[in-house]
Amino acid sequence: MGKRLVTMTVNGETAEVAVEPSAMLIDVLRDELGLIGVKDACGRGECGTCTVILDGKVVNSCITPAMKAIGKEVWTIEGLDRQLGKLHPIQEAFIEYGAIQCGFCTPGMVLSAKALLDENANPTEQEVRVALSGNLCRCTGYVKIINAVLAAARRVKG
Amino acid sequence: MGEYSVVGKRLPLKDAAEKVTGRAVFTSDVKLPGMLYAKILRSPYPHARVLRVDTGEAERLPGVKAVLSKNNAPRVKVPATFNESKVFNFPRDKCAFDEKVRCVGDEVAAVAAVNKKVAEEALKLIRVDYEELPVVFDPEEAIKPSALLIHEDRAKNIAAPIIMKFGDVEAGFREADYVLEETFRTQSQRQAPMETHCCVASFDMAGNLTVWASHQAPSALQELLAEYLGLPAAKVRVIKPYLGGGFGSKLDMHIEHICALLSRMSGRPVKIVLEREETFATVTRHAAIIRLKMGAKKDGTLTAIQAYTLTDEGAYMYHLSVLAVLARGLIGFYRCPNVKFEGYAVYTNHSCAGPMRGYGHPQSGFALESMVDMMAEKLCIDPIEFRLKNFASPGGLPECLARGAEQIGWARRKKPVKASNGKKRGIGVTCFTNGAGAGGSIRDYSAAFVKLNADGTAQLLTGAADLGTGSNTTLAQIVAEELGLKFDEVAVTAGDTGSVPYDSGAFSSRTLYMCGIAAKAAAADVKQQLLLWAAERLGVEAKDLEIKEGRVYSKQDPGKGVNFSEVTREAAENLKGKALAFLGRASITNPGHGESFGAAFAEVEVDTETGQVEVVKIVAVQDVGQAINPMVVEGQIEGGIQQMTGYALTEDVISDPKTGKMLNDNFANYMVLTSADMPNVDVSLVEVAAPAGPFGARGISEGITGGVAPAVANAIYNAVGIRLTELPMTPEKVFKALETKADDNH
Repeated sequence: MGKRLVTMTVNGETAEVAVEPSAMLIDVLRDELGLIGVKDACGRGECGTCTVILDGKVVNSCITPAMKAIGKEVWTIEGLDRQLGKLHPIQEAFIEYGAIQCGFCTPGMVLSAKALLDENANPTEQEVRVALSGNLCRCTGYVKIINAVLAAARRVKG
Repeated sequence: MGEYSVVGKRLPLKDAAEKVTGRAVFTSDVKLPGMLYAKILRSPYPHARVLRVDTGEAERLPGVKAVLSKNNAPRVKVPATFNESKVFNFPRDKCAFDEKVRCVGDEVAAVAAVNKKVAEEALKLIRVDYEELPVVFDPEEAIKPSALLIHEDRAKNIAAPIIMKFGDVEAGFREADYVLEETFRTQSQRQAPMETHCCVASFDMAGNLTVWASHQAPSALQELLAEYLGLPAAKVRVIKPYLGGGFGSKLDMHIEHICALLSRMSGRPVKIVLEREETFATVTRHAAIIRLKMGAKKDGTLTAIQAYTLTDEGAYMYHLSVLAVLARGLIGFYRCPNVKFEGYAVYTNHSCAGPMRGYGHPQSGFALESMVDMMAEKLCIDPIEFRLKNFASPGGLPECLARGAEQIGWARRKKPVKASNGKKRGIGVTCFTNGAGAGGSIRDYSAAFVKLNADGTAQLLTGAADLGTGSNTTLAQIVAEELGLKFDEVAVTAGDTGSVPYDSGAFSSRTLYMCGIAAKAAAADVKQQLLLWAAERLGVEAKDLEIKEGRVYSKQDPGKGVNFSEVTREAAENLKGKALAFLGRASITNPGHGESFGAAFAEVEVDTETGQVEVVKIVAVQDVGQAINPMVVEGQIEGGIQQMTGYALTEDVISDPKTGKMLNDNFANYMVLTSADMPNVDVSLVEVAAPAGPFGARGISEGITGGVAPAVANAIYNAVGIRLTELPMTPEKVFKALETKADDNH
């Protein structure tokens, strides 16, 4: 079967892309749309590195069929600062609190944190830990990531 | 520690914004016109002769542009990063696409095609005739003279033994009041960086090769590729883009030579990105069996330490030096007049063992620090006191122990907290150490350039490989401090052998230490050039001048001065034959003494009904010398705690008993700690200056790797009185040990 031309909204803009029926959303985002902020680390939806927001919900784009995004809204890490015209408070906190080392898990981690704060503006430390538990990090030990998310929550509130 | 303007500050990483917005380009993001995608065909058998490889049908598949196998690959031994050593006799034992496969996953063929899908289809069309051979997975079996040979050009499945002796251990044991002996077993852990191995290779029309590689040692890789391909180094350029973690897995040449060969064959750029399963199988931590015997007098003095060790090298022996580090960790840590180490690096048909953060310290630390606690208990001496009494070179260690003891609440330990529901709590302590660099056994040197721009800002050109370790930021802090510039006035170029000088690589906690010494020396060199120019300009002696806050002035007459940027501007714009482009340089060897010491404390809660161990808190206090950037240093220690708590409790390889294949080669079943699993962590820094380190900094990143698992083991013993001697300490093992103890009590 050949590629099919489909439309979706990516980072606030209409995108028309040619998609194999078997393609995963990550393939479309990275290969067709050049959104390299969507990272591939396991290919099985087990580590959260490829996290994007689809129709308001965080998903693992490596196991989400591209077809599921037809006519829907997708946000990747690139959309975050582009939409705001500046860094999101979570991104600023990550930078300030030293929550980034190699940076490979960072895009997925930030989006998961955003999904948490969009739903729960005042999370406890335990709630942050649980919300991020689907995003693996091998560099930081999560300590400064958790601190950054709690700090961002305080800033977004205030 | 010191009073500095830029050094010692908690500055955010220079590249944090690139990473947090997804703009940072990693190796797998590199895209070149005409680029092909490559996949590797790997052996499903752990030990077999490769009789025939038929690639005809694969070659004819539309979209396939190059196929490699033993039929056409060069018969060249793959050089390893450390193989220059005159101290270790590293066997050159790996040939890509060899006549024999020696572990599941060994390379048999490779295909470059127009896309990943075609490459995968092509692999299925390659027909391989294997002659299966018997296998051996147990080092204790493989070491026997009767064992089948994994490398037939060798007499045995071992490298030369490592024997280290001092004094007379037999006499030492006779002198002892107590002698303890125990066998410890540690598992084969996985580095599991979030970014898998990947590279892109491209030749230009003049035969110059450029490789973008997710690699920890670009300078070394340049030389390895040149050697493997028969090219002069001047025709090889290695670029390290942003790199998503390494932890030792990316220190050797695992895929770059295959990528380059395919590129040369096809005449097009080629990209390889390994799948997660492939990265799991590529290189592992050494599993070890350590039989440790210790003798001590009633007053707590050690009289003898003896160890016999086997390390499981897997199919290829890239890093038998892990055994040497392990040895020194066992017999060099505490003061003891009589020590003996006998160790063997043993081939098996497991995946190749290699560097993983700690490099022998996690294994030796688990054995030694467990036994130290066992001996302290026998002698009725407090475990902290026992360590303080015997530690060979304390440095900042006494303060680390004192501070850590207070932070964990060591005083609580004498009266165990009664936890409800059959859960018992305990506290354990350990000491740990790491060196900075390789102690004169392998190439370990570093060079740097610092150039000054006409506007007085500076550019550091460093061979340092930043893996997320922050060197692109901390080295800038060092240069800025040395030159009296602001942090933003120093830019860093790194990770491109075409534009930066040599560095041996990111291993042995040496990057900040060695590249920092080089950067500081190069900055001092350019500073001296600037001072000479300014001296002539001001009519004073250069040694009379000082630089502070961007101003060069006479110490004798502070009113007499000129701005730093005025000097560089004047030197740039001089039209009378005195124009000068300031360029400082340095090439340094390892002065030693970069080692770091620390103490780790663990508080655990053991559920006696399920065997589950929860690590409630880890306190780590480390003497890091001058912390160039405390936020970066803390991050290193905190990350190490995640890895080593996994080493202690949850990370293990479940192998197929017939093939040795890692069955749990995915994140659902290889259990690294998530944010929900991570214990509460309290990291603090002690700063006792290292004599030769940049502004007194030490190498620090691997220290904690030797401290966590034994601290947890010691805490478990304190909680429920069982001594676990095998990692990881799973609920099954804990439960079984509790049952055995209960039976013993009846």
